[in-house]
Amino acid sequence: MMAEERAVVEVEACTKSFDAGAGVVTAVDDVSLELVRGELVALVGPSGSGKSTLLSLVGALLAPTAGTVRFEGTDLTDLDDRQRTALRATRVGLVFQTAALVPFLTAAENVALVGGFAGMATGAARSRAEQLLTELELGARKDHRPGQLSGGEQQRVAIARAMLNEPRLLLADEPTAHLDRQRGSQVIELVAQAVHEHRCAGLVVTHDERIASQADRILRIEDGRLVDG
Amino acid sequence: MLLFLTLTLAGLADALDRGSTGVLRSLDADVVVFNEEARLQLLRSRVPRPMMLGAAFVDGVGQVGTLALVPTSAETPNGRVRVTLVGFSATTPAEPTTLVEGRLPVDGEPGIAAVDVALRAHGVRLGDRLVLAGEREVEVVGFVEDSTFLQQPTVWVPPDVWARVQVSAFPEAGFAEQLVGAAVIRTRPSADPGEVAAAIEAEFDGVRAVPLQEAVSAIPGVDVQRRTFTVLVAMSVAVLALVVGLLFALLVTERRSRWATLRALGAPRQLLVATLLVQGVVLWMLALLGGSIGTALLSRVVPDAMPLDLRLPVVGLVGVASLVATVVGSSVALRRVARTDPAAAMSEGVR
Ligand SMILES: Nc1ncnc2c1ncn2[C@@H]1O[C@H](COP(=O)(O)OP(=O)(O)OP(=O)(O)O)[C@@H](O)[C@H]1O
Ligand SMILES: [Mg+2]
Repeated sequence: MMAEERAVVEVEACTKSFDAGAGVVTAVDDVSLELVRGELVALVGPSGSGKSTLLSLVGALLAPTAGTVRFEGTDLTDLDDRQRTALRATRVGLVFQTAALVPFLTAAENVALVGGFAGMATGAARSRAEQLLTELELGARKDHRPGQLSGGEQQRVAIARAMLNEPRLLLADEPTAHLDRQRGSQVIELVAQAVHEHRCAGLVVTHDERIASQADRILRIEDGRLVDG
Repeated sequence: MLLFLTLTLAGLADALDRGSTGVLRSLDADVVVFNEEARLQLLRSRVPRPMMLGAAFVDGVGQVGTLALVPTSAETPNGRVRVTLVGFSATTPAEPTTLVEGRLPVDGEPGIAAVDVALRAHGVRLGDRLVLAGEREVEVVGFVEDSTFLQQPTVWVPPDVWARVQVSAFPEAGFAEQLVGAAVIRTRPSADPGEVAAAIEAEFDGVRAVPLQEAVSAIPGVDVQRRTFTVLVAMSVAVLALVVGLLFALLVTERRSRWATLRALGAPRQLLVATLLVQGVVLWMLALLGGSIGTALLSRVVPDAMPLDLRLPVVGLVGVASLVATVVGSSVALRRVARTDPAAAMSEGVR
């Protein structure tokens, strides 16, 4: 009998406000949620509702104005910048709207690059990068530069990069925004597959309901607050 | 490009400087004594012979020699050139240490000379006879290098030859028997040249004694030249810092989203800064190499009349200065990279 697994991320009554000159904007307002291993959660909501901000709080990119974010039991506010950087490198996988690959590195080099951030040996990072690219059906493209790859292929490289350091948490902010529906759907499928196979927690931001339906659970956000439904 | 300019300027300055100061630098001496009216000018200096002899007894003085200069001209296989005739007493501190071929004349050996290698360019070879102004003929028995004076090649002869040329060139200057040019002194190993110079001035009336370096910078034009070129080189290094600063600022701003992305993916700040620094240093090395090659090539093609010479110490000095300029120039950009907010990767979206 396995003990109840602890959540990877626990967000408790989190608020994030920005002082945007013309006044204070509350991007995330009193949000609580949990992310557990092996589950892909979709976060949907209209533009400006606070999706990216919430994702950044969860991924140790932003510090909350109020409330706490616990990552595997550690309160992120207790960490300094160096420790947060190390945590991102070793335990969080990030996929952005665009693949954001380094243009002069090959696909495999782009993926292996983050291994160095986590202190992985170059050779090990390299072979794991090639293995991940093969898993994502990009084995034949490993020595191509980003410019030679399609948008969907670039985004798959970005997923491989996010998975390189075997993260506990995979975060994706509208990874399909610049892809057509079919490619977008394929990318989300790969994200779901990565979360299920590697047993990490997953949170993907999208405003496409059909894509959201590929997730295990859907969270809706409006004006910074989670709403039911 | 900028480093090429800087190196060319520095090479030119160095060559000019060396061309002016060769005579004094080729001596193994510590103190030079002039008569007061000469105002530290070798060409004008006439110290009385008794003073010369007496100087040997001043505390701290090791050896004393005489050095006397007079401008004249010499008939070479390639025509008449202006030279500086240097009368020096053999086996004293006034003897040049830069003999590269043949031998030096000894005292009381008239009609014999060692000449600067610069005269080789005018077709002068060992054993040639040079006709100096006043139909005086000397045979070239040796070559010395790096011993020019005010960019002119030198002809080194025993002091009495100098005295006779001097008399025929400037009859009104009077009888030179009792007057010698400047006294050149090598101090005892333990003595301080500055103190010895002061002691000599205290001992004899109407003389001015200075350490060798001071006599070098008193050569006409040397001081001004040095200052001018220092300012020019410093300015081009400053411009370099500015250009590098702008270049890096541009580079960094343009790639801001990439820095943010890498930071978000967990790249430590130091790694990004180090990467940029390495880029800067590589750029610097390439520029220094390119600049050196360019200047070296330029020094091949410029006419001989324009002294341009690139020596390793000059490259080293300019290299260090430009490296500092590179680092200083890029520091603003580096700070900006170090401060990149990883959250920007998310909110700014990535291009
Ligand atoms: N760094 C910031 N400074 C000031 N205001 C910000 C900042 N980041 C976000 N905001 C504001 O917070 C609110 C939520 O922004 P957020 O980017 O989280 O929305 P989003 O749901 O991701 O929108 P989109 O679908 O357009 O990406 C917006 O009103 C935005 O203007
Ligand atoms: Mg967003």
